[in-house]
Amino acid sequence: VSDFEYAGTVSSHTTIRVAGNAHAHEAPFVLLLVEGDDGTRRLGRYLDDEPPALDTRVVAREERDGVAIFGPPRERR
Amino acid sequence: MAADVHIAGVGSTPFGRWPERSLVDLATEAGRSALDDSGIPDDRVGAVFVGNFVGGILTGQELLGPLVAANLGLGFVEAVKVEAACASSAAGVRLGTHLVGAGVHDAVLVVGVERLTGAPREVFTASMTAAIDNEVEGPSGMTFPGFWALVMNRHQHLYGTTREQVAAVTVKNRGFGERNPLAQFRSPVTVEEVVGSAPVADPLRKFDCCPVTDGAAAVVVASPELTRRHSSPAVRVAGSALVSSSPRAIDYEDLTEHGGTVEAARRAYEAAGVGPGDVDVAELHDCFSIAEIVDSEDLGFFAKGEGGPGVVEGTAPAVVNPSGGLLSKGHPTGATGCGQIYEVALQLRGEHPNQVEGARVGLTHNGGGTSAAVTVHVLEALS
Repeated sequence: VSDFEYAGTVSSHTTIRVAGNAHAHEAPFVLLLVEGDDGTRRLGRYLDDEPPALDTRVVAREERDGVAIFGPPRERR
Repeated sequence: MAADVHIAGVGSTPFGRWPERSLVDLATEAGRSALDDSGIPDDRVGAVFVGNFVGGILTGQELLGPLVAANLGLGFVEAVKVEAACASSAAGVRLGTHLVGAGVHDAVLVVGVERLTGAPREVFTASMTAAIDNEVEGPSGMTFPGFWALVMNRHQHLYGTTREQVAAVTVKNRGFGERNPLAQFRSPVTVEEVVGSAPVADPLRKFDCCPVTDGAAAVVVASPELTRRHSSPAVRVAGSALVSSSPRAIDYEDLTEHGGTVEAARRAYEAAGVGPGDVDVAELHDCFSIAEIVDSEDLGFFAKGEGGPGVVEGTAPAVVNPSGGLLSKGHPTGATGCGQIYEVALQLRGEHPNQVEGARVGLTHNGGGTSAAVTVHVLEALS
């Protein structure tokens, strides 16, 4: 786990219900594609089971194994 | 291309589940069928390309080029495997058109083959993610249904495409598959059955996804001189393009527009001197139902955002996926590109079980990875 901050808007999301072997034990999980405020894009996980609406804002304040973990913008985790 | 190039002959195994057959066995059957169909003597074949994606991972068998060439008795030819994920064999056809067009060889045999069944599930799923950038996006748990689910959600958000419109792609293609003897699925489904099938990656359901398929298909690419001499049932390759594009979801500025398809189509249309409105029949890469809608738009059959209603209303200028497409005919990844050319060649020869009456111009579109390797071929009838 490493600390960082990355904020942006949700371009799209999906809930993966049939995962590849390496992630099968984690399914179902929510993936987000996020357009970052810094002009980059990131694919990451969402903390909750219900994905956020498209074009809403999210923020990631941590990475786990290189994967950004997103949540609502005001939420401190 | 420097000179005219023909598809001189085509061959295919049925697509389905053949775990008892080897890769080389399937490929040899399709290759022999294409050579016999062309009427061109074996000794005129100068090269063999074998399109294959995951044969090495799933079966442990490599060296497919020399093995298939040897089994076909083709002697000292140039023979190699070509890999571009699901676009492997269409990429081989593109390379074949280069060699024949440039006069390097009179004839090139391209075989696509895959055997996906029979492997343990964990090995199969690992093999499919070999076409995901495993450093950048693999750790997130990304899958190919997941990628196309992201595309579908964005398309629905931007254009109001409905769940039922996307399901209509599967319903249409399963209907075509009923009459294709090579198809893996030959039974119809309803919109309700698609929408009610098991969830895979929201909003995609099981019947939105192509099946796991074994099979092989082959085409003979040859010079017009050779096809005339041997009275081959040839069709003309009017345009051929292979384009690399975005290999990751994060590369997409707009998930609903796939630049590789747009650019490959532009190049192929320009070479052929035709536009999307001239295409009579098309075989598109409908690995997932939403993919046919996005691909149809990117190929110019619909304006962006109009593909969903267009499927329901049947307003595309071309008949799309009359083979049943990947959703019904099946998707033996490395074989799919040659399989699409097989289908369109039969259409232009007037020999297809779902014949499009009067078809003169046909198109194939085959995509590998996240539409990261895209081929478009425009074929024309000769007679």
